Amino acid sequence: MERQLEKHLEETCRVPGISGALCADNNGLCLAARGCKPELAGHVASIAQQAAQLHPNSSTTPVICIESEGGSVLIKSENDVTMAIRGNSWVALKPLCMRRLSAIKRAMGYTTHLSNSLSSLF
Amino acid sequence: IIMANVQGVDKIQDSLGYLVLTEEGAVISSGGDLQNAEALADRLTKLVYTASRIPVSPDRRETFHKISVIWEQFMYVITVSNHRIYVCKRPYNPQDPAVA
Repeated sequence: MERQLEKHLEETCRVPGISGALCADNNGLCLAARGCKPELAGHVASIAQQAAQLHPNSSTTPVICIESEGGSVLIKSENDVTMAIRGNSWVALKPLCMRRLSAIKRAMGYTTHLSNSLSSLF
Repeated sequence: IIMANVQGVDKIQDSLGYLVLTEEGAVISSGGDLQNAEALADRLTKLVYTASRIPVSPDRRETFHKISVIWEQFMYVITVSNHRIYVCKRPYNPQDPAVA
C-alpha cells in the first residue's frame, strides 16, 4: 500500500509547477511526503479539521488554499486522508489535488462506504 | 471609527458577509451572513494561526497573504493586515469545476 501511495506522490510531484506533496491521516500521522517535511503532517491534518468544523453539517469537506507571493498550498481531506500539494498556482492545483486525492483513496482501499483510520493499526 | 476598521471589506462586490477580527479573534465588525458569528470567528482565528505555521514557499520568512476555504457553493477568503483578520464570505462560481 505504501508503494502505491509513494508512486502517486511521485507522479504528483512530476507535474510542472508542483514542488511538494504530503499525505496525512486524521491524527496527523504522515503517510507519505515528497518535497515536504513529514513534520508538517500534523499542521496539515489540523487545518483540514479546523476548516471542516466551520460548517460541520456540510456534506462535503472544504478545499483550503493558502497563498503567498512565492507559491500556494492546497489542502483537502476525505475519508480520513488529508492531502497537501504545494506549487505555483492554486487555480491549476485545485483540480489536480482533487484527482490525486481520489487516486490515493483508491490505492489505499477506501471506498465511499468504508472509512478506517490508519493510525489505529499502529 | 467602525467604518475605518472595516477597511472596505463590507463593500466587496458579491460579498455575502464579512468579519473583522482582532489578532485574538474578538469581533470588531461583522455583517451579512456573518453578523455576530462569534463562534465562527473563534474557529477562523484558530485556522489562521495554524495556517501561519505551514510554509507556503521556500522562503521561510514569507507568510501567506490570503487563505481561501472553499465549499461547493461559497467560500471564505481571509487575509491579515495591520493586526486585523479580515474575512469575506463570497459565492464560489468556478469556471472550470474540479471533478474528483
